[in-house]
Amino acid sequence: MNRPTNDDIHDLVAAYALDAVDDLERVRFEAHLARCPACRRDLDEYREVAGMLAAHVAAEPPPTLRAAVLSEIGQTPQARPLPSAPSRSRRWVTAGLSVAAAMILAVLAVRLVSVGRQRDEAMALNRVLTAADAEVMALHGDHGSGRLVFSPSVGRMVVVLDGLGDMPADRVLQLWYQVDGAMMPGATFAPTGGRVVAAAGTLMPGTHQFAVTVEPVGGSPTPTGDVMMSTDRF
Amino acid sequence: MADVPVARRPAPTVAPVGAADGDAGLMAQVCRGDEQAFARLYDRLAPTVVGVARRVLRNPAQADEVAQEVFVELWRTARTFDRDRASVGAWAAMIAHRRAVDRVRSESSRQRRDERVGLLDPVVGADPAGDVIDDFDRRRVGRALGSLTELQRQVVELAYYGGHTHTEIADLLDVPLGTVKTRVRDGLIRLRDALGDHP
Ligand SMILES: [Zn+2]
Repeated sequence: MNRPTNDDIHDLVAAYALDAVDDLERVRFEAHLARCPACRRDLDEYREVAGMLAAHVAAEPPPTLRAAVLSEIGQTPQARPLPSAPSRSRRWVTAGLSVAAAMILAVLAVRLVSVGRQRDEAMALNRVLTAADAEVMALHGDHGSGRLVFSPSVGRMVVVLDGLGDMPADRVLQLWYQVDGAMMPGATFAPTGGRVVAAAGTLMPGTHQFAVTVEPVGGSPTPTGDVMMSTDRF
Repeated sequence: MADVPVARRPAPTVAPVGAADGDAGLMAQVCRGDEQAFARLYDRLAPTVVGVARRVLRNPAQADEVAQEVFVELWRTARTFDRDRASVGAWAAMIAHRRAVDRVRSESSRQRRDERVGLLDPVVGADPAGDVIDDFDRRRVGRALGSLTELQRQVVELAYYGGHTHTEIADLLDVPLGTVKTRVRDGLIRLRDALGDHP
């Protein structure tokens, strides 16, 4: 099978391992990496090599750094699962077979819908990430980092988030548009393996900042969780 | 002498940074919130984290700031570390390098960077770390770098130590981008083989 554009993207693995790609290439490659085991394997090997290159220039740490680090981590919580709703397994057990059958049908239905959605989403991702006019905005915060990519010609955004802690099943991440001092709700995402790569709607007119919070599944009309990360104002 | 961040003995197959078993054990404790284990992990990783930040940023004050951020991130995201995928040393180096590169790119005009980056200074044979890094390992990495062709070595060093993108490297060396991509890949493959098979 001929996949000219994909061949290009595979070629980024070595440069990506050395952080020698620009912001847009980084986002494009990470979207690809999520579904390419060959690049995943190469990347893991190249990163060990990069680690040796780093060790090769090892330097004596400044004497004050150790105490500064240990004092700061003493006040820094580790990324942990957020508190989740109590388990409902007991209710399911007593609910009986008919409910179990209905659950299976529901799961199948959701799976069918999501297969179609995934295909649409993958296409949207590709169109945005390969658009000539794609722009990248960085998201920073104490709870992960990420990038938003927007293409005016495609009219869609893509969000890539990294370094996220575990999320309970009843929580999602939600994107917010800061417009004239108000937080307008955006798309929601469920991380896998601490990462999110997803299509994220479009750019709302008048937006001057983006933020990401943790919200109950389905999202919220106004933010209820702390801001995990945000862009600079623009 | 500080605890050395590099394995004193060659590892069996893919050479990891740091005594892999000890680091992995410490990581397991760190994931349970053990601050003393993290202090020991700091002692093992700090020379590498500080070294790579200084090399990329060329500004010790900024580099030390970045190093502190890196260790806080290592602590905070310890639970996302996947020991099947990377050695602890490679993971720490990855986060340190990424942060240093992000910092250098966000803060700098091209001019200032080009002044700072001693463009084609070879790292082979340099003695940047004093007695911090084990001589055996230094020679091993030095030999591996020395086994690259001139162009492979230049692109790998400009990318990793210089913090340049492959597009910038193509401009700097005045070669096509495709050539840079191939040399980066071939260079890494050769380094991997040299470091893995012939410790
Ligand atoms: Zn691939």
